[in-house]
Amino acid sequence: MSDLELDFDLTPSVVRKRQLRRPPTTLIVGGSIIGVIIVLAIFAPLVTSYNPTTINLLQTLQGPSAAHWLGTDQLGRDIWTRLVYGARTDLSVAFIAVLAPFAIGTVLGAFAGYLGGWLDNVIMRVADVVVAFPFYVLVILLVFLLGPGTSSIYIAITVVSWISYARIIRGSTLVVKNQEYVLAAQLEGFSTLRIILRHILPNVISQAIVFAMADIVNDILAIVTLGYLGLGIPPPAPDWGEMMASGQQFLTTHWELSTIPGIAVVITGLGLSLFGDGLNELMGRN
Amino acid sequence: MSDSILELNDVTVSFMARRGKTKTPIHAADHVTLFVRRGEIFGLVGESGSGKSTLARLVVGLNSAAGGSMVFDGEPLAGRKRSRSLRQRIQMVFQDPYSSLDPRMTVRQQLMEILRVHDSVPSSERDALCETIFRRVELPSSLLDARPRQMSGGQRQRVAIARALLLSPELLVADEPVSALDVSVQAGIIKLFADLRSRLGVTIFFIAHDLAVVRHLCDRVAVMYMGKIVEEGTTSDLFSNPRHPYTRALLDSIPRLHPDAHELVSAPEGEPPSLTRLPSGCRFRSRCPFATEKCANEEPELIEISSSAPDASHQAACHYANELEAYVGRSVAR
Amino acid sequence: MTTSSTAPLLEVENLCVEVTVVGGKKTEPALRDVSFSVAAGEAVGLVGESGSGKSLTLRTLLGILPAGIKATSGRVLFEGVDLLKAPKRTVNALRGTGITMIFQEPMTSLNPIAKVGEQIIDAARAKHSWSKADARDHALRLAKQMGIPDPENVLSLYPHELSGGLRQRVMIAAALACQPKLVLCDEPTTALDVTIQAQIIQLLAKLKDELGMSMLYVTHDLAVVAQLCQRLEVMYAGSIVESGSVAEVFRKPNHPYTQGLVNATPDVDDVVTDLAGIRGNAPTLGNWPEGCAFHPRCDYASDECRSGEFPLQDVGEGRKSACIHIDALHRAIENAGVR
Repeated sequence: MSDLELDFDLTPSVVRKRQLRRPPTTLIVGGSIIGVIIVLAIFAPLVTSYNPTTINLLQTLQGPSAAHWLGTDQLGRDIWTRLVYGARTDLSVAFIAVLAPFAIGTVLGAFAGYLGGWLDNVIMRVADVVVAFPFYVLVILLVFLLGPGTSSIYIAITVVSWISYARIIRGSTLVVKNQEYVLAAQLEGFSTLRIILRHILPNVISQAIVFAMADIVNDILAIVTLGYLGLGIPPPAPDWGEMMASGQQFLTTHWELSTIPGIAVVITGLGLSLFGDGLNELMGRN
Repeated sequence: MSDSILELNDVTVSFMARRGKTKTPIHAADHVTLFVRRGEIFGLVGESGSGKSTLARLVVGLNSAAGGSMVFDGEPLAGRKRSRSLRQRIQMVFQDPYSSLDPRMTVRQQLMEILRVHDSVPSSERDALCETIFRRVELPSSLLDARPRQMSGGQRQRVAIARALLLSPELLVADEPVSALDVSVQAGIIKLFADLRSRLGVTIFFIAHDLAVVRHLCDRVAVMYMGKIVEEGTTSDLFSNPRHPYTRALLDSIPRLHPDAHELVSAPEGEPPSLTRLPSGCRFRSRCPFATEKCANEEPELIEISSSAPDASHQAACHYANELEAYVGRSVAR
Repeated sequence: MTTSSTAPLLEVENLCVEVTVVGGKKTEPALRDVSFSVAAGEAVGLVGESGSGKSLTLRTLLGILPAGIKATSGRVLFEGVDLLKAPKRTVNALRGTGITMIFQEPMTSLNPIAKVGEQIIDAARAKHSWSKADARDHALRLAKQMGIPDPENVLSLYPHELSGGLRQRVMIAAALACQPKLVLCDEPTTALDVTIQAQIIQLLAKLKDELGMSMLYVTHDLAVVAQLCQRLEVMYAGSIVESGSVAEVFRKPNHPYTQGLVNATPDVDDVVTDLAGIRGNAPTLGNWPEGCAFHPRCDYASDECRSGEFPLQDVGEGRKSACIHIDALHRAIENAGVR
C-alpha cells in the first residue's frame, strides 16, 4: 500500500451518489468518429443513391460531381456508395471476427492463470508455437488453404488472435488470484467455475475489452490486406481492400480510387484507437 | 482435551523453495502442536517467517499439511478438501481490508452469494440476516449497498468480519485483522472481537505480530519462531514470566509510549536465519544471549513451566527455560 | 536539544499544498498552513494517521511531488533558502549533503538491478569527486557504521538478496553517504518486524548522536516517536493540531485528537486501562469538515468548533495547540484518572 495513495483516498465515508464526471475526451472523440461511421454503414441505403455493385460502363472514372460525390470507379460504380457499403462489410466482419478470439482467449487465459499446472503449460506452449509465426503469414496461409470466403477469414483470424487475449487475461488472473477476496471465496468452498466467472473475470476483463478495440483495427487491416491480395471477402460485396487493389492500376491518373478507401481505413482505425484509449481511461478510474 | 474445539497435532506445512538450481522443501510450520479451547481467544504471535499465517491458512482450509493431523470438534479435520458444511463452521478474517472484498460487487451481493452457495438459510430470511449481521458489527445498513471502495479501512474490516459471521461459525480465524488499520480505528475492531466472543461464544484464533494487541485481547498465547512454537501459555503467565529468550527479546523490542520509560528499546542481535538454511539445534541460538554448545547440538523440546493458574499450562522450548532469571522487563510500575 | 539562538535548520512557514482532483477542474487543499521548525541536531516527529498529510509534507520539502499536487503558498526555509522558490540547481545541490530522505519500503526505493554497494558508492560520488577506490572505502566504512555484517560480501549483493532489515540499513547508508544535515524519514520502520525495527531504531539513535544530524521523522507510531524524537508535531486533516516536547505531549496532551491517539495505542505493559478508539472515521481529502476538522469526532466540541479557523496557538512552555477547549480536556483527563 503506497502511503501516498492512502493519503489521497478519495472515497467518502458515507454512501452517496457517484459524482458525474465528464467521460474522457478520447472516448468522446473516438466514439463520435466510430459512431458516425457505424451509423452511415447501417443506414447505407439512405445515405447513398446507387447500387454498389451495378456496373455502368458509360460513367467510368468520373471525377467528383453533384451526382457522384466522390466520383466513379473504373466500372462506373459510385465510389461513395461503395465506400459506405464497404464500411458495412469490413466493419461487420471485423467486429464479428473479434468475438471468437475474445471469448476463447479470455476463457482459456482465465483457466490457465487460475489453475496453473499442466493446463497452463499446454495452453501457453500452444500459444508460443502460434506466435512464432508472423500474424499475416499464418492468416494468409490459412485463408489460402481454407479457400477464400468470409468464414475462412473468421477461422483464420480466430486461430491466430486468441493468444493475445489469453495472455492478457492470464497475466491479470495471476495477479488477481492472490487477492484476498479470491482466497475468501475459496475458503467458502465456492466452485472453481464460480470463482473464475464471478470473481476473477469481472475484475480482469476490462483489459481484454480495451485490447479488443485495438484488435478490431488489426482485423480491419487484415481483412483489407486479404482483400487486396484477392483472398478477402468474395465479390461482389464491396470491400475497401478490394477497392484499393483494383484502383492500383490507376494510381497515376485517378489516385482517388485507391486513396479514398485507404483514408477511410485510417479514419476508422483512428476512431477505434481513440475509443479504446478512452475506454482504458474510463476503466482505470474504476 | 475435551473442551478443545481445535487441535493441531505435530502438524507440518511445507513449500518448495528454489535455492539456485535446486529446489528444497521448507517447513513453514514444523511439527506444531497446539490446541484451542472452545470459547477462548487464542493468540498466535510471531514475526515474518514464523509460520503463523501458514498455520492460519491451514486451519481455514487454504493449505494442506504435509505431516501431522488436525481435529475439529472431535472429528478429524482435512486441509484443503473439506465439505461445505465444515467450511461454514470455520471462517476467516483477512489482514488487508483493501483486497479482502471483491471491488466490483456491492456488500450485499457478496453476502448473498455466500448465502446462496451454502443454501442453509431460506431465501426469504437472507436480507434480514444481512441486516442483523451488520448491526452486530456496528455498521449502518445503508452500507450494504455500497461498494468496498466507498468505505474506509475500518468499515471494510467490519464488513469482512460480517462476512465471516454470516453463517454462524464456531471458529473464527483472524489473520492480523488490525495490522493494516489506523490505531484510532484499531481499538474499535479489537473491542468488536472481544464482544463477539462474549456475546456469540465464537472461538477466535487470533494471529498477530503486535504483542500489545494480543495482551489486550487474548486468553492464551503461543509464540512462533521459524516455524516452531517456542513458548505457549496463558496471557498473564507469558507476559509476566516469559521463559523463552525469544519471547523476552520480542517484549524488549517493543517501543513504549509513556514518558517515564525513555530508555531506548533493546534489540536482539542479528537476523532470523533463512528457512532454507536453518542452524543445527535451536533455531534461535544465533541470536540468543544465553546460547551454549548444548543449544547447537540438541533442538529443544517444549518444557513445562509452573503456571500461576491451576489447570493452565505454560511451556517453553528452551533447554534453560526454568533456569533463566526472573524477567524484569521494561514495564514501569505505575 | 540546545537552546541555540541561531536560526533553525529547517523552517516551514504557512505551507499550503493543493491537489488537482481527477477530472481536472477542481483543486482540494491537502496541507493547510503547516508551520514548524527543526533545529540543528534536533529530531522532530511528524505524527498522524492516514490522510493526515504527513508523508505529503516530507515530499513537499524535497520537491518530489507527483503531478497535480502543488505547493500554493508558504515558505520552506532550509538554512535560510526558500526551497519552494529557489532555482532547481540550488535545490538539487542541497539533496544529499543538505537534505536527504529514507523511505518506508526499501524494495522499491533501491535500484533492483544494481548491487547495493554500487548504490552507496554512487550516492557518495554524486556529491564528492572521489576516486572509485576512496568511495569504496567510504562505503565499507558506512556499512560497518550501519551494522551491516560482513560488509565486503553484503555490498556485492543485489537488493532482493537481502533481508528487509539489511535493505533498510543499505538505504540509510546511501542516504547518509554525504553526511546530510537533515534526514527526512518516511516511516522507515513500519514495514519491518518488531525486532528488526528495534535494531533500526537503535541505529538511528546512534547515528543521530554520532553525526549530529537533524531528523524529521514521519510515522503513525507514537511509541517510535517517543524513542527517537525530542519534539513532535501532530497532524490531522492536513494541519498541525498540536506541537511540543514528546515527554510533555504524551503525558498531558493539549488536543483531543492527541489524547485519543494516546488512549488508542495499546500498551503491552498495561492491561488495566481499557483501549479506546476515536469514534467516526478520519476525513478523506476533499471531505474535511467545516471549522475544526476534528470536531465531528470530538467529545469536547462546542458550537464554536463547527466553523471558523483554528490555527496553532502558543499555549506556553514551548507548546502549541489548535484546540480551544484545552481546559475541558484536562479536566476530563484528571477526572478519569487516565495517564
